[in-house]
Amino acid sequence: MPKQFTITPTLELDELASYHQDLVGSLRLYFNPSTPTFAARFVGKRLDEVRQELASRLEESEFRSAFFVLTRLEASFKIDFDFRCKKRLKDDLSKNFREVERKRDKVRMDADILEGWKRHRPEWSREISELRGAFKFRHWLAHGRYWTPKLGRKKYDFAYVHLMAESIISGFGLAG
Amino acid sequence: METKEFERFVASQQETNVDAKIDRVQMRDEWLSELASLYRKIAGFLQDYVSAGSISYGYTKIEVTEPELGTYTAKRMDISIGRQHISLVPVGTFLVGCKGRVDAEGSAGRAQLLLVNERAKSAADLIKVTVNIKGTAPPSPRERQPISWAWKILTTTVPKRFVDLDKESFFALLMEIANA
Repeated sequence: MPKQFTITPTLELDELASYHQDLVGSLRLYFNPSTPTFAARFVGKRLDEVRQELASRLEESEFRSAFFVLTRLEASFKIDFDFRCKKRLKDDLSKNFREVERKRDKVRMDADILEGWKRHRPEWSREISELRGAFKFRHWLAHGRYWTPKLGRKKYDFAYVHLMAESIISGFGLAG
Repeated sequence: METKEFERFVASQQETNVDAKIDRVQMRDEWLSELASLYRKIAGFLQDYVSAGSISYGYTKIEVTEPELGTYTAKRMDISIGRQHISLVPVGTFLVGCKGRVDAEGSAGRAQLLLVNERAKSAADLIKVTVNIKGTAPPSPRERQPISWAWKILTTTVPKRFVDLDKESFFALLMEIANA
C-alpha cells in the first residue's frame, strides 16, 4: 500500500452515471436512421446488422462504465484502509488493518481488505460477497478478457454495479 | 389522457399508406434483375480468360433472407482461378444507402459491391442536411430526380469511397481478396 496518496481529480459515482447516460444517448443517436450521417456511416448494411452493431456497442459501453465504477469503489476501499491506519482508529476493523499493514509489504484487496470487512462487519457479508463477484468481473476486464470467467452473476451491467456501489459507499461509511 | 396518447402511439406504429404502397415483389425482382446484370458484366470482364481456360465460373442457387422480403432464391457466382476460389454472394436489397449488395469472398478477404446512385463518389455523398433559418419560409422540398443505379466497389478506406466497377477495378479486387 502506498504510504502517501495523491488524490487526483476523479469522477464521483453520479458523474460516472451522467457520463454513461450521455454515452448511451450519443450511441443511440449515432445509430438512428434520422441522423444525417447515418447512410454514409452504414452504407451497404442491412438494418438488422446496424441494430446488432448498436447492441454490441451498448454492451461494450455497459462493461466499460461498470469497470470504472468498480475501480472507483476499489479506490474508496483503499483510501479507507489508509485513513484507518494513519489515524490509528480504535475500532476492531481499523486495528485489523493496522496489523495487516505492519505485516505485509503489499496489501491485498480481497484477502486483506474485503476479508477484514467481512470479519469485523458481518452485517455486510452479503454485500461483500456480491462485491467480490463484481471484482472478479473487474479483474477479468482489466486483464484483457482472455479467459472465460466464472462470475457470480450472468451480467454485471452498469445499472447493477452502480446501484451496488452507491449502497456500499453510503452504507459502509468508508472513511477518508 | 394517457390512454389517448397510447392509442395515438399504437396508431402511429401501424403500416402506413407509404408502407402499403411498396411493392415488395417488384423490389425483389428489380434487385434480382440488377444482380443478373452484374453477373453479365463480370462474365464479360472474364471472357478472355475463360476462353483461354485459365478461369472458370458457375452459379449456385442460394436462399437469401431479408426481414422485409422473407426468404427467396438468388444466384451466387463462383469464380475459379486455378486453386483460388472466389464467391460473389448476394446479400439483399433492403439496405442503408444503396439498392443492393454483393459480397465478394476470397481466401484472403472480403469486399463489397454496392448498387448505388451512379453520381455518388463516396459515402459522404449520401449525407443530406437541410437547414432552416428561423423566421424564413422553409425551402420547398426538391423534386426527386429518378436515380440511375450503378454497381460500384466500396473501399475499406476512411472515408469510404465508391470505385466505378470496370475490368481494371474488378481485377484489382479479385487479387486483393485472393491474396495475390
